[in-house]
Amino acid sequence: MGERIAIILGMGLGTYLLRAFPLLFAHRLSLGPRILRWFQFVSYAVIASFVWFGFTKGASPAGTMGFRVIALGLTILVAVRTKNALLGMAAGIAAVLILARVGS
Amino acid sequence: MSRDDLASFREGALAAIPVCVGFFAITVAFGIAAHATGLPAGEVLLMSAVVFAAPAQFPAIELLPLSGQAVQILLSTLFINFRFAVMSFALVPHLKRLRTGGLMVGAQLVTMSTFAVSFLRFQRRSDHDNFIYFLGVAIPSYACYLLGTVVGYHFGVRIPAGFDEGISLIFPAYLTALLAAELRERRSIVVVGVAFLATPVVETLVPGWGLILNALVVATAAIGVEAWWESALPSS
Repeated sequence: MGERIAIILGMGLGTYLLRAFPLLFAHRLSLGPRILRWFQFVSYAVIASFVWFGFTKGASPAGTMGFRVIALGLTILVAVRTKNALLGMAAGIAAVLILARVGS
Repeated sequence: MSRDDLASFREGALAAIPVCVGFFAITVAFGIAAHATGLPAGEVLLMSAVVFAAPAQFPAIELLPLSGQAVQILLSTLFINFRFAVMSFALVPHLKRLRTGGLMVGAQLVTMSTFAVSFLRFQRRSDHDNFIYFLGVAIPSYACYLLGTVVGYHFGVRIPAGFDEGISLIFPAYLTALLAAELRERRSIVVVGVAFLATPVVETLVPGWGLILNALVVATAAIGVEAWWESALPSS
């Protein structure tokens, strides 16, 4: 039991250091506009990659993937039209639930 | 906490509602899986509290009951969670002028979800209240994460059949909608589109690193193209 708790605390400490080190020390660096711009692009790219993983995880190409592509398109359309992210998300989720039910 | 701070915290908490739903669903599944491995409730909750990163926790609960797995668990945790270092770096320009104590507490709450929601808001409006907004997103999300772990472990509540497809898409759909509603600058839109399409290619070439490696490559290429483009334009 003691060993497992030590491992869990080690997992937590390692993860914490990854999170904390940049926040605690990087602000002392003088970051030029090009570096800040690079961080901005990295952030957008990370979010876009995460969306790809989220939409494709657990989907089969022949089955739910098609529903998810439609849901993704509807999400973008509603969010762009209404400028409301929650409404866009709701439209996409509703679409995938309805399509999954109709298609099953 | 001033009235302005309270308003910023509330704004963050409202933006975190989809994150909370997603976190709750994920950690209910984690609690159920952890219970099945025979780990005690205290250890499972401790893991959720100190690690706060489901992708690293799921493999760990499979290995923890076995002996002699410490190095493997710790190394895999570091590799899986390396993305947090990149996210924290990206938050630095928006969280300046903060005391070390605040940053030390806030650091524990950086996840893909809390980072993404906060970062997109900072692109729209970056102000002195950034950290309070971030806490407004992160604290309710953290609470939902712990609550989901407890509910899953003790009650084994399963998501009704037919709804799991929708729940698994809540967070990706929310991020997509946030990007679609907030993103205006053309070059950033191009970066998002290229990164989205390049992810499966990079993930195929370097399995397990599609998220971070792809982002670093696409961002570096974009900076290079932007610099070239600006130098190629005739100066006015």
